[in-house]
Amino acid sequence: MSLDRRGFLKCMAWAGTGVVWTVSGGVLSSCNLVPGQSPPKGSFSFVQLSDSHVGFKQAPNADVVKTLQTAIDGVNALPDTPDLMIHTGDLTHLSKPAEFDTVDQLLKGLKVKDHFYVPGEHDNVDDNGKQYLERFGKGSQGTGWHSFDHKGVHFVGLSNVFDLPAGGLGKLGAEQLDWLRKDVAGLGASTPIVVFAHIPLWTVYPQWGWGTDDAQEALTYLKRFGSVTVLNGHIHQVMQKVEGNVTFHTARSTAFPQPEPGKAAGPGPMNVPAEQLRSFLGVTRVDYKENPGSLAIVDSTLA
Amino acid sequence: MLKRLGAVAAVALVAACAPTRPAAVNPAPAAAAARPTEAPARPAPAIGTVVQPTTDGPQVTIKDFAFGPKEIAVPVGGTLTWTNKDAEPHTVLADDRSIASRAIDAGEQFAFRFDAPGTYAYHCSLHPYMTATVVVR
Repeated sequence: MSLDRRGFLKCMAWAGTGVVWTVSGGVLSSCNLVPGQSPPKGSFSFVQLSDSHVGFKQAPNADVVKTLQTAIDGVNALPDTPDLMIHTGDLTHLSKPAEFDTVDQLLKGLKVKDHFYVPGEHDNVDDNGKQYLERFGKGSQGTGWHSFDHKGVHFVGLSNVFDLPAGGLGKLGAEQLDWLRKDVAGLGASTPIVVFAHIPLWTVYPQWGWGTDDAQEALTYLKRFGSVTVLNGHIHQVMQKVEGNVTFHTARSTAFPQPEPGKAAGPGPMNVPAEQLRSFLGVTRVDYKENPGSLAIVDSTLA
Repeated sequence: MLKRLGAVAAVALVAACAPTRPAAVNPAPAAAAARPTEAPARPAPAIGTVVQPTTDGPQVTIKDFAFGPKEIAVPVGGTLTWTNKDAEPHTVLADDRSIASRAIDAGEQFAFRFDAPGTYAYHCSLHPYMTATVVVR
C-alpha cells in the first residue's frame, strides 16, 4: 500500500494524539484522511488513543489533560467521524478516583460514541483493577478482556497487565488464553481480526519489559486468519512490525514520550523541549475498506 | 531467583495446572480469576510491618528503573527505606506477597521493618523486570 507524501502530510495535519486505522479486505492500508473524501460504503474507521496518564504532572508535560483534550479535538475535527474509539490503557497515572473521573469526563467529549478499553498497568495500581473494571470494564471478563464484531471485523481486547511475574514481561494468563482460543474458533479465516492490548504482544525490548511472555501462544490461535492487526500502547512511540499476516503496531501516548529502546538508562518519560512536545504525542486512526478489504493505519501527531 | 522456598510451590503449580505455560511459574494466581484457592492480596505470614520512612537504617534508591543496591542486608528488627528518584511510580512487592507497598510516586518513600530473618526476593509490580533482594539476618 503506497503512502504518497502529499497524502501523508495531509493526514498529519490534524491536531491530535491518536491513530486512525482503516480496515479493508483484511489488510491494513495507509492514509486516506483527505478532507472531503467520503469512505466507500461498507468501510469504516476507528481511532486508537493510548497512554493518557491523567494525573501525571512531571516533565515534559505538566498538563496531560490539555494534550488529551487536543487529541480529542483532533478526532472530533476529522471529516468523517470514526465509528469507534479504542483506548489501549494507562488512562490514569496512579489509578486515583479523581484521575478516573477526569479521563472519563474528557473521553465523553468525543463525537465517537462507541468506546472500548483495555487496562494498562497504571490503571490497576493499589486496587488490583477494581475501579478500572467497574468504570471501563463493563461487559468484559476476568481482568478486562472482551471481544465484539463491527461491520465484519472481529475485535479482541486483551488484558496483559495483571499479576505480572517477577522478572517477567506482560502476561495474558491461562484463563484468558483459553477464552481467546474459544472466542476465535468459530470465525472464518477471512474475517479481519483486530487485537488490542496495552503492553506490546511482540517482543520489542525485553530489557525494559516491552513484550508479553505468553503472546506467542495467543498468536498461534490467530495464525490461520488472513489479516490480523495488533494494536498496542505502553511504549509511547510508534513502532510497526509485519510478520506474515500479522501487523503489529504501537501508538504514541497523549501524555509524554518514552525513549527508543536502549537509548536511555530506563524507559521513563523522555524530556523534550516544550515546543517539540506535541510532535511526540499522537493519535492513531485505522480505516477499513470493505472492498478490497484492507486496513490502513495512520499515525498523527498533536503538533 | 528460584533459589527461594517459593520455587517449590511454583514447580508444584506448574505440574498441577499449567503444563505448557511458563508464565504460570508465578506463584500468585490472577486475582480476577476468582477460584476458591486464590490467594488474597497478602497471603504470606507477616514478616514485618510497614512503618514510617527513616534515614536511620539501610536505604534502597529506585533510579532508572532499578533498585539499588540490588541486594541489601537488613538486621532483624531493622527498617529498610526505599526512595523513588524516578519520574515514574514504582512499587515494592515481595515475590511471595509478604511485602506489598502502595504506589511509590516520584520522590516518595516506602519503609518496612523486617521482624523475621530470611531472604526476600521482590520486584516492582508495575515494571516486574525490576527485581532485587532483601536479606534479613
